[in-house]
Amino acid sequence: MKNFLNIATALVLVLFSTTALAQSDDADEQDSLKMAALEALITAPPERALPIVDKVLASNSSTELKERALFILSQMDTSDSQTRLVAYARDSQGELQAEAIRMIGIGGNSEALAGLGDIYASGDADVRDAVLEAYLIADDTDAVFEIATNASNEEEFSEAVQMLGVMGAHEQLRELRSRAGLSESLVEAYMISGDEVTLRELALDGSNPEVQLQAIEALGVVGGDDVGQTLVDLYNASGDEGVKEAALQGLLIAGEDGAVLELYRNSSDNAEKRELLELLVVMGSDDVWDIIDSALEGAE
Amino acid sequence: MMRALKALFLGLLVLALLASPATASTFDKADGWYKWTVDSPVNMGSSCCGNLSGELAIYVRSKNGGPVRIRAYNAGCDKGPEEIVTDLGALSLAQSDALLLEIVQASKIDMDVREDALLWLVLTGSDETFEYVDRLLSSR
Repeated sequence: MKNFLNIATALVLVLFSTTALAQSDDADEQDSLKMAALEALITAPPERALPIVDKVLASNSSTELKERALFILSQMDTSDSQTRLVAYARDSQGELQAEAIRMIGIGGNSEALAGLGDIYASGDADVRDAVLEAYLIADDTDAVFEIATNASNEEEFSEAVQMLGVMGAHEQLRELRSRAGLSESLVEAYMISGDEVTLRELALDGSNPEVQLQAIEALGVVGGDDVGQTLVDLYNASGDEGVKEAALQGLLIAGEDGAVLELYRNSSDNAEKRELLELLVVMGSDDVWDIIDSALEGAE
Repeated sequence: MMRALKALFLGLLVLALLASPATASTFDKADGWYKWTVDSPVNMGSSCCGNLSGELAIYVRSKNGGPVRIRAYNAGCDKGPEEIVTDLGALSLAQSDALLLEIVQASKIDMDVREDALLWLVLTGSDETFEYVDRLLSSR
């Protein structure tokens, strides 16, 4: 009797644990099937798929499923679907709103992208970031230029021009210089976009010393074939200690040890030679050993 | 007391049997390829040979009594395997849907195969398919 009770108890336990596992497997299976069904809808005619996708977005489904639904929506190239997507981007909250905005960028539909302008204007910082990211994904430099032009404060302007820098929008960034004037964030954007031409121009222009120093260092970051010679010329031509220091920083950042060696060899000032030698050491230049050998030979 | 425990034991056994997943029965007759063709209401586009025919050739490979692979081609440029074990002939959309749905709903079949079946189910595009997808996505 006791044995039978033990067996029955064990059987109950096994059955319950198996059932629990099976239920968990069933739920996973169901989720996978739902995801597959949603993804399959990408091949369906939009008029068949849209009502189903809409229902998923309006339901209590998981965020993951809803995010996938937004992607499917973004891939339907119909006016209805794009209008729905813009509505989700405008009216949703949090992660789902950001995802809807991102999906507009991925979809690349011009009307939907245009709809992001109002969402940016009325959104908080997270929404504004998401809109800029969507424009980045869609490579819509004109829209970001518009935001930079209409920016109501320095922070907004700075974020927009940084994005233009990431997008490599030379033309728009140069246009902003004539419209909004020069600022630290704009020079930084020239650096991010790799606009060597504009940075060289600013580096040689001493009318705004702050901008000039920033441009000289930024030129070192951007690099390029002639950057070493440009910075050496600047160093030699300027009597301003700040400019000289910025030029050396630029050479350091650009790794132009050949140019620093040239300055060292042409210098007759011991203090300056010491500073240049220290810079070559910091740069890990092999030329340092030649200099030491020459100095030792001279001493002998 | 003893009788009650025996009844409980038997009840649990019945429950355990009922809980075991269903199997796909059409494809367990023999291992190898099964083939059928179906007219799809959906334009299959020019993805294959530029042929815009709506007829689709669907192949299911069965191994150890269950589907392990699904392929489908526009029937106009059929590139399916040559050795067909079971040719199911030309099926109606409803019959084709039923076969694919049998795979989708069989929990013993590999999930990748079930998902492939679901994709072809949606691609063939019957009203019933979209109702099924709607129900599936609305379920909790």
